[in-house]
Amino acid sequence: MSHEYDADAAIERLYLDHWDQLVRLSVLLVRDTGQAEEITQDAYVELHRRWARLDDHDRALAYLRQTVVNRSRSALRHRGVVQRHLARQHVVDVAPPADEPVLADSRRQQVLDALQRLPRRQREVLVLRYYLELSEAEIAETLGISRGAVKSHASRGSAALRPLLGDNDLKGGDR
Amino acid sequence: MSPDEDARLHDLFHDAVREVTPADRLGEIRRRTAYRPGRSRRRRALVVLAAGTATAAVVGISALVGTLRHDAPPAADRPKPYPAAVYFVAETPIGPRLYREFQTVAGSTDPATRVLDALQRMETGAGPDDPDYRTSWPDGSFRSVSVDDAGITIELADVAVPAPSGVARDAVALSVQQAVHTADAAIGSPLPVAFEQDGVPLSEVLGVAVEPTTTRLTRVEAPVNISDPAEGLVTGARWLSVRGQVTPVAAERPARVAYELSSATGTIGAGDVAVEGQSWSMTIDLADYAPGSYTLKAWSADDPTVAEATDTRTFVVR
Repeated sequence: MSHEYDADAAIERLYLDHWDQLVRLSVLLVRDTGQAEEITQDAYVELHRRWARLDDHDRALAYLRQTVVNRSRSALRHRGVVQRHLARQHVVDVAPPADEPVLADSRRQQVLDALQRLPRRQREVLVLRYYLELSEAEIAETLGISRGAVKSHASRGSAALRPLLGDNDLKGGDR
Repeated sequence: MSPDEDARLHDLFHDAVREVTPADRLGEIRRRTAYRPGRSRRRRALVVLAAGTATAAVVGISALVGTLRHDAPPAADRPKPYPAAVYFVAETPIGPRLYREFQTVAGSTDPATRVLDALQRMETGAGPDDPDYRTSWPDGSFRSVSVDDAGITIELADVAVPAPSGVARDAVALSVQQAVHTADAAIGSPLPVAFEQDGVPLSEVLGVAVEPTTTRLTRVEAPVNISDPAEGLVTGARWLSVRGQVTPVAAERPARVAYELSSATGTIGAGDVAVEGQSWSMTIDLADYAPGSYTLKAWSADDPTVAEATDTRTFVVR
């Protein structure tokens, strides 16, 4: 069986098992669902392209995770550039968006907003720790930083989010 | 962080994205990973796959005949519609060129069916979504397709043999390449294409002489092509992802693609983006865009001789 066939089958398996979770991971990092889908889709395509060169295919999910984080980061950087550029170029008045998508639960929105305000590393560490439930060692490897740095980003980031836990306590703590 | 706070943060993060329902993109991922030109390995793998799925399709059909009086097969067993790359012709200052458009066609696991479905989108009755593009293939041109390891064979109807009336000859000359590009894209492999009628090789297609087999020539592709968004896309999303391809016209391939965005009242943005490999992309923030129709235009920023070879897309903000 050729490598290409292996790659097709593996990508399909990884899609079925992890697509939703990885898109949500990216939503926590970039906020916008459509863009998160694009980023995650690109990550699957990139994994397929590199399949034959991957040393250990059991690590495909780790690779996919890392690609989603890296691409979410560059999307934010790119978004800043395009936004600034178009802001300069706009010459006509445009009405405010008619149907700004509103999340049903304002607390959800607050969490996503609060994450966007955090420094980039803190946001990445928190999302990997509390959403993907990765260990310190796995986070360090995914982000290419030391375990000590993971610890300090986690504690600063968590401290920044602490007000959210107080003011908007979890309703019906049965989860 | 206390263990209690840890648990609450865990809940907070999971709850924040609980309602996010990602769209299904498996078809798009398959499409993007299927097409890798110039890799003979891939070609063999695909042909093996083709033989396997052809058998499966026959089995599928007899199973279907058996249950036809009842219901159609469950949705999960039916291939999903997918965006097929269909090529059309448009004028540029350097002559007619091929432009690619994605059109949704019924899905099939049978390569020959996929090719035929995509080719039939090139017939005048179907045709391009983009009003700047055109096609010279009359309705009913494509009758059937077969695929084997030697290539793709397209069976044409009578109507596709003589030169179509009222169409410029240089535009017709690209029609054969239009079919080759579309057929190769449908199968995801640059196989040579043969044209036949009643099993006999044709020496002329749409009035243009053809060799027994024709291979894909990339130099007839447009210098700059917008692949996404699809023409006429209606979007309510905040971000619009724009992607395209470039084809070198001279020895130097363009390093930057220029773009201009306009609304009904005039230009609202312009700039250029870097080309990576043979593709370019950018993301547009639509947050401040009033509902209405917008036009995106793209062209080569480096080569003034092809600057007028633009590609345009219209999209609608809800």
